[in-house]
Amino acid sequence: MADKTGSEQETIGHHIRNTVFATDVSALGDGEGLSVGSDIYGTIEIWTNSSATTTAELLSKWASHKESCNDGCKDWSL
Amino acid sequence: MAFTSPKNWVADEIVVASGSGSLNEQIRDNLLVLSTHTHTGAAGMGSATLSNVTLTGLNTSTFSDQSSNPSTNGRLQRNGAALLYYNGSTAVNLTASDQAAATASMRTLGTGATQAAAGNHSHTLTFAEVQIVTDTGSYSSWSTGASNEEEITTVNITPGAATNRAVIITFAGISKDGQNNPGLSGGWTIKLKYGSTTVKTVTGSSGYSGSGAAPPVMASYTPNSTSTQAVSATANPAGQTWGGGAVVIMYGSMGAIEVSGTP
Repeated sequence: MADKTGSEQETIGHHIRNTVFATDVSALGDGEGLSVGSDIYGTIEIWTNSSATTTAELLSKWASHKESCNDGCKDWSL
Repeated sequence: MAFTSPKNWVADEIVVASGSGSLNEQIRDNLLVLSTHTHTGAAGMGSATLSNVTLTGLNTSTFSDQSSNPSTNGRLQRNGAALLYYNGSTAVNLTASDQAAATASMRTLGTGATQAAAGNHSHTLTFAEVQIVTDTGSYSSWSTGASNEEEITTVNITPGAATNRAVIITFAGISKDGQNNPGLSGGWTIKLKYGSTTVKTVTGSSGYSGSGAAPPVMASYTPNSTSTQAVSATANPAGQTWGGGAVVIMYGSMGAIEVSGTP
């Protein structure tokens, strides 16, 4: 698989955070964060310290979304 | 004695014992020829050389020692105890093992230069630290509503080998700078770069703070070059939830560790 460019990394990160996790992001409280890492090798990593959800739940949520995603998620893996 | 072509018999012929067309000539003499003849290649005698022959169900084949290697393209020939095949340029010894690396041959299992490795062999990898480079603190600032990418920390690295691995770690932290908190749930985009190559992008980073709101940004990369490159981190507050302050500062510090591996 070809290396992912910086633009591709940023695009998939925004898609996952703002579309797949939109509800989870809006529920973040003070001092809480939710970030999506994407690297040149096509790897996705997800982190949160949210009190409303866990990183494991987010990983599962993205894995389910990926199956039917038409926005490029299928080209990435955990 | 030569083979006599069989005659055509006609009705009412008289059979004689000897002479042309006799029973002795037609049956006895021809049977003697067929039972004792050698393969001379003459008409009716057969040849010692067979061509355009397809053998099926062959049980065994025994090669006689030719005491030399084959030199005709496609020939299989025995020389002493070795069986060799001439491929058009080389007499390949089919019975010898562990021939030179560029010569096709059977291989025994082992660790020698001309042996084959067993399919279940394993390697023990060893790693060594080559160098560590660090930038202990830089920053950039943004005015309210800004959405531009700025470098927050950088350090140069000159790899000892092109195939070594560089592990990069960056801490990026937001300062209120006397303003309201710009929103830790916001969407900073942090990028780690090796030269002009973006190795890692973190979207929605809230920045590292004293309460540990976000982990450091980490990545590893094999540069495939020994030229000096800048390893850097950039930040972009596009999408950030601004808290009302006029300016926000993102501090950054980073370290890069070059590691070599030996199988």
